[in-house]
Amino acid sequence: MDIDVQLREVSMHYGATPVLHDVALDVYKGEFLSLLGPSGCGKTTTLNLIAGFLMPTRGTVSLGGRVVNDVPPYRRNTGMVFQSYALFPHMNVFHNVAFGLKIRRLNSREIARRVEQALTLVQLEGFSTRPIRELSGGQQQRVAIARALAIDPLVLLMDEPLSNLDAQLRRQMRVELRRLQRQVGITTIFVTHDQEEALTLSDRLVVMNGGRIEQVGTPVELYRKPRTPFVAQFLGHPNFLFGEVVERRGADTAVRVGRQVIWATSDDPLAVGSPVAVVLRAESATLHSPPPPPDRVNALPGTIDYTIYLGTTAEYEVRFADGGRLRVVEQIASGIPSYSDGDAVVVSWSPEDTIVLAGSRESMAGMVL
Amino acid sequence: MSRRRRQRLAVGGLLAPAVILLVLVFVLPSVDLFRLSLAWMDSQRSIHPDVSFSNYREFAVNPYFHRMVWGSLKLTVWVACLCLLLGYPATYYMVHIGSTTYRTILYAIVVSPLLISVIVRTYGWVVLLANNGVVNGTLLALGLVDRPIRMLGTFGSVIVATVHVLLPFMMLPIASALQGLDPALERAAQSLGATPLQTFWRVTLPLSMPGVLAGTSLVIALTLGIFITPLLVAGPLQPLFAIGIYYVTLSQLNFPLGAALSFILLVFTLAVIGLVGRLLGIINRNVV
Repeated sequence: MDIDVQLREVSMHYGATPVLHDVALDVYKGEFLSLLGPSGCGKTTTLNLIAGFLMPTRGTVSLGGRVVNDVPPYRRNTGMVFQSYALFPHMNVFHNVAFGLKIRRLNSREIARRVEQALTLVQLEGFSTRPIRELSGGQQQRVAIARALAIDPLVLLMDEPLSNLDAQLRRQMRVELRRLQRQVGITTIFVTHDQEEALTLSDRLVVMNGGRIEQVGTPVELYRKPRTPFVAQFLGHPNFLFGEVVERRGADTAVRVGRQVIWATSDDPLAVGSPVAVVLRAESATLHSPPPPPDRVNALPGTIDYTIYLGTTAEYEVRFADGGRLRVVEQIASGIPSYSDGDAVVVSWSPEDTIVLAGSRESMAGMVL
Repeated sequence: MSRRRRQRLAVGGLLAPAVILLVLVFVLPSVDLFRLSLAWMDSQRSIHPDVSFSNYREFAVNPYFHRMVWGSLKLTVWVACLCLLLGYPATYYMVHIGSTTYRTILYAIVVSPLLISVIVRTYGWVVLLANNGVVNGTLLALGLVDRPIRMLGTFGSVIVATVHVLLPFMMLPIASALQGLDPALERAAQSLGATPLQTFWRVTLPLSMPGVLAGTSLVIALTLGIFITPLLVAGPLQPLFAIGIYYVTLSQLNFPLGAALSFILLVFTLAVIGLVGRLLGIINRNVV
């Protein structure tokens, strides 16, 4: 597969403050790649390095197979969509979209054709003569995308483009962005701090933390097989239980947590006796009324401590006899929670849904919720 | 009381002090001035309050007043252009500078001419530009000239001293316009292929035009009426509008003629500002 964007051992300092450490990343032609992480993780810095607004302190940035470290942003042919949209307020929709084409000195017929094409793509036909200030947030967003696409860039860079929209519009734009990107087939790098956005949009996503890449993979890979506690806690609503490995049978791993033994599946070489964290997503556990179902490997009896009711789901906090706690999310199609506070329940889950990560409670302090 | 009525009262209450002040110190004196300008003074220096346009006729036919208008116009063009050419790049640099401390220091330097008394500031220029002043002393010491160059009292010295005091009135409105721009706009233009120069011409400059317009209008209005600075640097014989008014009013004691000239200056200033505003607006539209 062709690589459109490549970062090699890129480090970046603002003065003496390091913001990126040895970031290496290949972005394939036509893929939708998200950079996901909390604020200050280096995701926007990475985007600005690709756009050319920042220079790496060390390492190389390549676009289309060419090292572009010394190429200024206006010679890189990247299309950028900004969080604030950054539309030119003194120009109407047409002139905004035509800006990059005029700079490229295309003839006016070609400019008109390509502006029309770009506006059609974002479903804003007939908006050419509208001034920017008369557009809604969503429409401005579309103009910003059309403007970036009109120059036929090598790669589309998007810096939290949906975060200024209200929740409903954001979901709608998410779907549309995905459709648009598939239709045009343009390589897209999308910066966000919203895990839901990243999971729904991306072919692959890159989770960043503290200026480093934690893990790169498809949404399913990252959700099912997080390799670091940070990735595990950033995607989904996991429970962290700390214990030590007591037995291994191939991939099947037994971990003692308190007085309980939990079975998990893990390909990692984890020695018996080593400290581990068991990551169990609140969504992948199931609740039963006692007695425990005989066919489940992991089944722990406990009591419902309290319930958070969310309409289509209910989140229970289950307390065990040894003082341990677990959050469990139940899908309730009926809208009526199956359990109430004080009920005796059994929590069960399959070893395949259980993630084991090497490390003690102390080593993950400050990171785990 | 209805909501609308209350709102109207609130607006009225907020506007009233300013309106009252303006009426007291501007509108009423202007009306009075206009009435005075219609009176006339005979050769015995007695003032006749009957209505006549003799002062305006005097302005129309006397070449001294024409030279005065021309001098003020010339000064205004020089000062406005120099303030814009010197002020815009400096302001652009000041706004784009990274360090806040450095920016604060620069702002302090920019407004410093306004903090010093006009007398002290202008005598500073006298000290610099006099025949035995600092500039001539340096030129002589370096052997660049044989005799001191006459600088004080020239039109050039009036331009320099006026630009010095009026520069902040150009820079501050431009600074506020530039500061209001989303920094992402310039990045957006560059990501679309515009070089820094193209970005400036097509995005930054047009969007800072309101600041340029405000600054230019202020500088024009202040230059047309400037008085103390040219008087101290170049003496009472400089053909400038305000100096002419000063001379007619306080030396000849011809109050009606002075009033007429003041009124003409007011209308003239408004006309020039209106014209320049139009012109800059047209240029701006054509650039985009």
